[in-house]
Amino acid sequence: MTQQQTEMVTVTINGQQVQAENGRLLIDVAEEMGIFVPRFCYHPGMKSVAVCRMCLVKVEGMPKLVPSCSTPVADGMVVETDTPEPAGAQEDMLEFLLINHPLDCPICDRGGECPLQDQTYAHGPGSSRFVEPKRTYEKALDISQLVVLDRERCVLCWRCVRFSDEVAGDRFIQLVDRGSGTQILTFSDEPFDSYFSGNTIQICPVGALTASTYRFVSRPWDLKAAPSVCSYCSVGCPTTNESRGDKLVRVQALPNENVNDFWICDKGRFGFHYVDAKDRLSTPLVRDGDDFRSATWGEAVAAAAEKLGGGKVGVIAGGHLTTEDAFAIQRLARKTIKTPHLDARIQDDGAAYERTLAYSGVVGSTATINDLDGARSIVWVGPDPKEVLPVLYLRLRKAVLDGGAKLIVVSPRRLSLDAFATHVIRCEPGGEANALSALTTTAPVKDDLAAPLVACWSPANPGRETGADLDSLLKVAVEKDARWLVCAPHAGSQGMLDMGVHPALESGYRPIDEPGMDTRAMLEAAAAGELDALIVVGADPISDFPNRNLAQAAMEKVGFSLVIELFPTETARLADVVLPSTAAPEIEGTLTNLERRLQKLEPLTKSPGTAREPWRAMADLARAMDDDWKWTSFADVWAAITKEVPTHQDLDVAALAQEVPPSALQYESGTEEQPGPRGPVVAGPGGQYPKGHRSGAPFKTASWPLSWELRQFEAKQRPGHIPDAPEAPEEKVGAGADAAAPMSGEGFVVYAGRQIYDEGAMVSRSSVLHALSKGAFVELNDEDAKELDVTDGDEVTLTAGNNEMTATVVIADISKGAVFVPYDQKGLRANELLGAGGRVKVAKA
Amino acid sequence: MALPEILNGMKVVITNVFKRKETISYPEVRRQPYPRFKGRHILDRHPDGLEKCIGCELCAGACPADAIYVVGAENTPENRFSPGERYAQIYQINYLRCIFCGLCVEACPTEALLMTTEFELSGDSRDELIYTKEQLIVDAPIIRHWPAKTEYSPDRSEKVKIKDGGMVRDARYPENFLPDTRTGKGSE
Repeated sequence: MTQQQTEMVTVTINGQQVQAENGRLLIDVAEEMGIFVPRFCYHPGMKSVAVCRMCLVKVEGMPKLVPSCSTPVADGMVVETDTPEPAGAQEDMLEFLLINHPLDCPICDRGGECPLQDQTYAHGPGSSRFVEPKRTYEKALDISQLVVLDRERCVLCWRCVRFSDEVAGDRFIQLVDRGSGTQILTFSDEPFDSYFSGNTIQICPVGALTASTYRFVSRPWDLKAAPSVCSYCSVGCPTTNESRGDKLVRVQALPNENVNDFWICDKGRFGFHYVDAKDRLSTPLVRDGDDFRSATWGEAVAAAAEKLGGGKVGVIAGGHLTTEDAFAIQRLARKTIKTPHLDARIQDDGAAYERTLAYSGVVGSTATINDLDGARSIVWVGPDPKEVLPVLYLRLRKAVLDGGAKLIVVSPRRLSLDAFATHVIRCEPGGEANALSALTTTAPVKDDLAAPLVACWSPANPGRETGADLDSLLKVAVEKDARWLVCAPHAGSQGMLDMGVHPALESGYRPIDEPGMDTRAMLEAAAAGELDALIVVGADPISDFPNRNLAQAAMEKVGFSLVIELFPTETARLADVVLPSTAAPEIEGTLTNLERRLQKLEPLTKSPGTAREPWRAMADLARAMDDDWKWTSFADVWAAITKEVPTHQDLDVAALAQEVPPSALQYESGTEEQPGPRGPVVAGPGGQYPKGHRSGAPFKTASWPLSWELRQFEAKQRPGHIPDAPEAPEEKVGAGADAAAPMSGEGFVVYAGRQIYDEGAMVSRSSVLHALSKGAFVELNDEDAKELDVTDGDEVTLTAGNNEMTATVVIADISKGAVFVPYDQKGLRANELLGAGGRVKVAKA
Repeated sequence: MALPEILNGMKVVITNVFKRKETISYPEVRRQPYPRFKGRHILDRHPDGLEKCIGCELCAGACPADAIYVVGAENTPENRFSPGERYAQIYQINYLRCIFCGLCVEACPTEALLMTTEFELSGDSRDELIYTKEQLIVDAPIIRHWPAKTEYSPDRSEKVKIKDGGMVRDARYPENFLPDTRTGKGSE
């Protein structure tokens, strides 16, 4: 938000005088004073509509009661919220709302954490004068795979409608009909097909929208909760994990105005079933001929340590690991095994994040997600954020629609951002760099490139990353004095860069004189039989590396391979030793998000069998190789990190602890002086509103200790000036043949990108999400489609080398001569196509 | 001097010698508890045979001893257990923890959970004392561990000889909780 003139006014609420910013909403000001005005439709993340009429208060001088959610405070205002007049109105409103409410609380999933229940206890009439039959509807409609709608329970607060319209921008749910027949419905035959639909469940103040995955599973009083961070993408949305017994049953968004506001995507909310997947590895496995045999942890570690002692060893790490794991991997490789060959870039192979180093002294972002809100212009280069970084998409949308930022999108294909972008620039895949260089000189665009500008980049050319586009973008950014968000794709990717799991960088972004091999070079060396051992931690190069055959050959030919994984992935099946790993809800750890914000995960459930955190596996391996790190706890790892990583020296990891905010509103039943239900509001356990929201502190200042503020970190690291001109981009180390695939040639250029729901190891183990994956499709330009004589919905065969796949055609706005293929869908593996030269022949099937 | 006190005392002793003995040789002789005695639970059914329990967990929520464990699930047209959407997939009462306070019965919104007067709860293992829905449902027989020969009414005004030891009871007919004293007949 732009800096506003904050004039303070004096307001009297219930006899208490308070200073408040002029224009703030009465309901917020009252809440900060500890006076809770009941409400249903008001939500701090959305605009007020004042439709539920629950928050009526008396303002002196006003002829009638006013809704406090849409009344700004003014100087000298005298407000009463609990005198007989407003209290009576609130009571009457509740009686009205309950006329048609079925009161089936015993079978309602919301029962026990329901704002309607709680506010009825606190402000309600206690009995109803309504004796006529209630309005009834068909119960429990499955409006999507994930959301169940019960229209009888709805109090028509519009929260879900406003969310899908204002915040998510995909209108799938709407109020239909009039008067007493008004109801919430999706459009006929169209499911509630939003990537953010789960948020409507969390904000629904009754049990009208419930989660199919949580249906009748538990009661709020059965749940144990722990704050955590979503480990699906690099936005790093804080979440509340909730378990019944030792089973994870629900994940909810944990509000943080710096990161996710109040929202998380459905992948983060519903994609937790992988934790209890049947094929989850629970015991170490050691190769025994063609098969594996179970082994003890010590036996497996000893077997692995023996092979890692000498020779050429490579280490490949995945993107879902914590900062501690990253540090341990780096330490094992550099200090114990003494190999320079380690990398954590798999799908984003070759992505030159380190280019930012010359400009800012850090590898990664210099902007925060919040900077988007104050930006006048934003440049986006990369994959579709709605598919890859969903909550960042929400923040970009908010920055453009609410903040008025001008959005410039450079992409070879139509992105979801185009709907509200000011300028859309189409380029051929890999041609982003040239398009960006022209930005500052081309007429209409250059006028909209105004500071404050945030330049966003994320790797979008799997198999073809050269860093040229990032370089061009950084040049534009420097010219315009902008900050940038460099979004490594996965939750742990930035942590890997920070901790030095990179062939050319040590921890703390210190460049190494003699860089080791990157992922591609390691796989090539392994496939050529030149690598003695390969350690793969939390990664599946065979599925993810943009050259499937190379990864497969590497795993087959390498002398010895150790894989640390959650599941028997394709890579793990070819390993010599497999160690079971832990999932995010089971560990104490930290993740660094795309703006380099460190956030803490607290453990909730137990890992199966003898599974251990990868950092413990690393420490055990080091001990077996006579280098005892003496690590037994999370604190030990951090003691080492603060000692060895210059950028993290003064970090107090204990200060990162997040709190689970109280959930549904809870009320005491009264005091001696004031008997009855209208007692003071107290905080209870659970997760609907942020803590600061009720305890008197304003929400907008994030009063609870959340995460490590980026600024502290920047102050130490940013050099005083930005270099005038960085060195010309050199040919990437290890950039292989397909990276340099010529743009001219036969067939279409393959432009691949991840979809939100795919065949990834975690999503494919969540049955509800897996069912939502789009399947094999290919996007074609309409001119190309005409030439091929195909239209929407036709089947085509894609041929690249020996690989032949079938996919459904989607005519889309994509640069001519290119096809977009989803990265990892059933029946369509982009990494096979990419591996065969990055070009594909398309023919009508 | 002390004689009146001694005689007074002996009067009490002698009077009680001829009074009815309060002790009975349990378990051969059994005394029915009063009808409102709080014993083990049953889960009732509707007249049409559907379970009254909807798996709402309010009993578990009310339980001060954390003795009840309920997991709800959704009825389907093919597999209907209770009216409405929800039924109890798992219903367990741990009688090692239960304090027979009856708060669960008060909390039950459908009057599915009731208490019988059965108090003979013992077992060879801890597991045996975790009663499942199959054991608690009203048509499951209530099985006693030991046969009784004679049974008294709660106030011991009546005494009935029981055939076959009265090992199996049926909770569906509350009047049959005291079949012997009421009807004067032995249990089947």
